[in-house]
Amino acid sequence: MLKQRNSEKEIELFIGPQHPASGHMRFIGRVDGDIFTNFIPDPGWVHRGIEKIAENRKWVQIIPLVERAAILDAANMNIGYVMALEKLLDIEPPPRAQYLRTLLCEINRITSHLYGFGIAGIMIGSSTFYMWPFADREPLIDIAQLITGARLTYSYMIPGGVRRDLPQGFREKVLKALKYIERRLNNDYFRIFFDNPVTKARYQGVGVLKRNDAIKLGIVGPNLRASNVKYDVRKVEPYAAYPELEFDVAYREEGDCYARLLVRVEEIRQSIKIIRQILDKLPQGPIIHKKYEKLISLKKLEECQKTGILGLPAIFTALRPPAGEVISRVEAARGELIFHIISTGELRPYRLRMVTPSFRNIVLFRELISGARVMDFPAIYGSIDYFPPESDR
Amino acid sequence: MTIDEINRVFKDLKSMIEPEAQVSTLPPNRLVITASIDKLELIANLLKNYGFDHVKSVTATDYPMKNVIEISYLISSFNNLDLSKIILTLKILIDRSKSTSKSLCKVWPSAEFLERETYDLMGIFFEGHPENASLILPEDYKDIRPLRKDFKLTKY
Amino acid sequence: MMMEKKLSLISSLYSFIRKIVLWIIFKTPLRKLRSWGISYSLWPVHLTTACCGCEFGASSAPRFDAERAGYLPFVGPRQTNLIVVEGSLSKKMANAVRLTYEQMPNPKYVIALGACAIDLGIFYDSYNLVRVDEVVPVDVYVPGCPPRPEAIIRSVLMLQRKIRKGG
Repeated sequence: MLKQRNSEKEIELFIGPQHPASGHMRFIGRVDGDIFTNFIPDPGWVHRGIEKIAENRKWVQIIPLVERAAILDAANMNIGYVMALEKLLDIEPPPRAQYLRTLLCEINRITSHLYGFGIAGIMIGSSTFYMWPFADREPLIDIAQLITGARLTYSYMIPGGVRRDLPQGFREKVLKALKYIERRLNNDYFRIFFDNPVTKARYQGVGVLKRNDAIKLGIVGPNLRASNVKYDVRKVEPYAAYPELEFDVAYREEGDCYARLLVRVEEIRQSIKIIRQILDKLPQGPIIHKKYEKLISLKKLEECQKTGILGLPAIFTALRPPAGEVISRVEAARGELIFHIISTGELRPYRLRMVTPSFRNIVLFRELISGARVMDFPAIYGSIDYFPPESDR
Repeated sequence: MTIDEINRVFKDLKSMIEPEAQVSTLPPNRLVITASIDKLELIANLLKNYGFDHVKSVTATDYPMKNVIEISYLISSFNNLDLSKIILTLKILIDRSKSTSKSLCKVWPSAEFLERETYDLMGIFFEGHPENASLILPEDYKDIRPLRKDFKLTKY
Repeated sequence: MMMEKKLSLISSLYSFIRKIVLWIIFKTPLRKLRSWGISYSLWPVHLTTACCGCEFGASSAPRFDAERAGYLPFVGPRQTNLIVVEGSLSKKMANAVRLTYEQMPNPKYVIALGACAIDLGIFYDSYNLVRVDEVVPVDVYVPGCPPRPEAIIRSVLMLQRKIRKGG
């Protein structure tokens, strides 16, 4: 919709929810000729009220609720909440469960970055680069379905461990899928998209974010690491199986859209390296903490030995953690995720606060696009990798 | 950075802030500062000069029995990789019937959208904030603000 | 008198021609040709509502390929005839969906995707959501959280069968 003021030169544009380049949110911008003079993001079109609903649910019922905030990245949302709950209960899961949790988190990181490439490709008009990453997500989604039983919403991690063990013949299938993705990433994606002169002309030098601005505005994730700040929660405060695994933090120095995409490519390579180490070093043992294993019936434990499926023990519906306040943080695919939980010793939490990485990156729209040309807007949007349901919760 | 170095930083902060506010530590790496609303900007400037440069979250909790609302700022550092292992919590208590507080946007610009969301969902007015406007809820929302405890959820 | 006779002659001629055209379209075998044409060219409009949009995007990807059903997501409401409401509908977004529905020309259809579109799903006591059939009239419901891409393609085929039978 256009609205032209009577005696001024500027036009006010509403880029609304029904638009091929906007996703589920709205932008209000003022255009003078070909340059945006002012640009305001308008979120809130997918607000479901997860923080208020969580005060009305039992502790275990919040696990599927929190996952649907960012459905692409469900394993990282899951592990953030379960880690905070385990700090309240003061238990640590056994080593095999830690390794299985890390495996699912890294698989989710790769699929989420591939989805981001697909959206970046279609925003600048390259529909081949929309079809290829979406097709290459499918082998990894099949592997996640082998472990957990679902395509996108896993609910795999429960307080004290995980829900299921690995099936037979798992290792060969994973190695085959990783080899396929590595070959596609290093050969075909670079030839078609990243080394393409059209892509370079649209992405290099556009939307530059300097180091001091990134720290002052509180940006997180690959957007921060592309501006020369080496901050990654997996190295600062390691959790799950990360203290025993070797990997590097991906970063670049230029801070423009091209650097942000290349940081994501490097993160996919590091995730493949981590998954190979996990498959080599996986220890044997139980998948749930001893305290809860004693409360499950013997018949169910025998079944678990044969098939590997434990399910959710029924005792968890009456879980009452002691009173207290905890803060936990996790590195999700788009940045740093924080959970702040206040409990008073009842069946339901008193206050659940979750700060998602996309919400902390909203301010980038106002800072980077004001002063840029109109056709730079799809390029900058695709490189930030913003996901509206995660930001509105 | 080992546990001894973290404890040394905690001792430095305690001696810097102690007369103005209360400090308590939760091992291994969390520190809680409880302050009153007049000393808020002073303590914020002291922390910024020490090296803490951004706000991670602004959490507001409603306690209708004690007639207060508690606001917590979670603060940490990106620039200094040693200080980034610590998360500080800066808590203040405000009166529930008046619901106004001071904004910290001039000290830390990263708190702008977080404070605006707190205004929208909890109804707290921040003095000194550039734009106290609704962000997530519809603009013509007229009921009690959702996160207060007297707003009850009903099945649709 | 002459003027009135002329007016009554013109108005009855117009309504007479209109009745002939509607008879040709709806009562002769031309009707089957018309519904065959509509059912094999259902174009959805670009309007993503919530999290089921990921599975909707994956159903156009090479593994599941919904385009073989005659389906092309297109830009504006004036050139399309299908709205797919994916997932939960908040109050702000319900305004946008209603505006888009009223801008589309007839005949138009609506598919409601996911458990949240049927009866609010896992967010059953939220303060910011509405039910889809209070905003637009729905033709096909697809359960699931999220529904698999094969289920989405099956819902398009069910809608095609409903159109060809005369819905």
